[in-house]
Amino acid sequence: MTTLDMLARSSAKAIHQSVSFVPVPVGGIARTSRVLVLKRSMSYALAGAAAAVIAVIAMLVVATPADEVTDVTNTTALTPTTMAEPSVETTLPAELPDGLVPVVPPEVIGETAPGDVTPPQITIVSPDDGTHTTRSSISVTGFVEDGARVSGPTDGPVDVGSDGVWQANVQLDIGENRVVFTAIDNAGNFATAAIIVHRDAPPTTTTTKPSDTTTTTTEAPSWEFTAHKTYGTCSDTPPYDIYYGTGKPGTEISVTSEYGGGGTVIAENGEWSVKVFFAEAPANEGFIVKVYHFDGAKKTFEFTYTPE
Amino acid sequence: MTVRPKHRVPQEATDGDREEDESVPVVRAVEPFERFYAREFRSVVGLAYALSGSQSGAEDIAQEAFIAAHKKWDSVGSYEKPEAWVRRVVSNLSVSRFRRRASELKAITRLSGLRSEHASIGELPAEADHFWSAVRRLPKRQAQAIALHYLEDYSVKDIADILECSPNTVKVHLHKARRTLADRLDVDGGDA
Repeated sequence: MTTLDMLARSSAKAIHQSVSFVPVPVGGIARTSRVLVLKRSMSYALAGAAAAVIAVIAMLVVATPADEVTDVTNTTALTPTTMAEPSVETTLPAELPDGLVPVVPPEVIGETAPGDVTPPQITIVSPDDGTHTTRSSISVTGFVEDGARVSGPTDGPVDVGSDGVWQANVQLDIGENRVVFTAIDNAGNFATAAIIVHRDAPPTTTTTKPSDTTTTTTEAPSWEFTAHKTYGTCSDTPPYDIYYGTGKPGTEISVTSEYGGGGTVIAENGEWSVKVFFAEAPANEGFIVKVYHFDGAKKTFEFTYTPE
Repeated sequence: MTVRPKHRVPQEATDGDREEDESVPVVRAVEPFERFYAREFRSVVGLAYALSGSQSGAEDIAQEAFIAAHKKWDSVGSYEKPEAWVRRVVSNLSVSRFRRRASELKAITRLSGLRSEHASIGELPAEADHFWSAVRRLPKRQAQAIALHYLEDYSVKDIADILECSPNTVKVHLHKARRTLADRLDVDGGDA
């Protein structure tokens, strides 16, 4: 075992020890694939599907102590109109007798019940609200609830990963930019998330020559992350491409893909280039190559190995 | 550069490491989510901690992954390795800039009443903290491969399943990562 292996093993052990006392939230995630039903002890009116959905958190439902509350599954959603009473816990699932009123937890709506009026959740994770930058574009990353589409101030569609993570590049104007992304689910419900990003003019520096009192104002060097591909396809074996661009001097550029990657350090003049081999690339099947700047900015390219 | 790479006919252009016959569907009994959650929670928090470096955020990241798994448990639970699915989500959440504001993920707030208000993860010794800091500075896939290899003792094949790449790619990630780590940490063992 090498020194690195020993260090890695001991560091892994330290992680295990550090989380050994983390409490597992008991019932932290309750299954919600059941529908609650409520039998009111007094008269009530029923509202249609357009009525406001009652907020049901975990397995609690708002009802009076005199009400009978039962769980069932796959029932039709109807909603009592007045629900301002204290909460009670539900009982276990049962058949739906006559006279019971089903109440659909929001988590179930959209999967098993009609009348989905719950908006999808969307969050912008980075950059922070109020971020200042001198760059002309910025990478925005966020999270959206499963199945929802995301749109925003981008040239093309926003790519949403299977884990709900999405990313988009947004062009910025000088000054305050309100960046708004919208999530839309299959039922047409939508929600928005917004941040303010300030694009500042490049900073200036003022120097005074010691020999006289002349003041010279010069624009400080600025940088902008750019990335370009050279080929996009290659028939050589192993196939490769050359990526190049600009960025912050001294920081790292990394190139990743399913079939190979690489990296380099940006030169003092702000330019970089890296030759990346895709030794395991499948023939004639395009795949995604992502170029990352140190600050999380990303450019995406496609590459195809095209052997003759 | 404008010269296009010359063409040569490869002898083995396809990925030869994918050995499994995936054409035969396998029907599996779905483990109760609660049992899966209780069994995997701490180790997933550990993975999130190693890759995010955030004591307060690691539990949130883990919870987020489990929420995602819970929402589609009918399918995820039937996978051969649902734990691999959760780790893939955690790896991506942790390494990305999610860690910066993971605690603000709105979905997590549903569980706010069930979680402690402060991080319950212990401090790492300086040496381990230094090691994982170096891991987090690796390229994303390399960091994930190292964490899964050393922290979870996963095989190259398992890591390939989690990261959705070929075993050879994992080997390359591990090789490059070890070399970089050995250099940065000034220790031997870089597979040079």
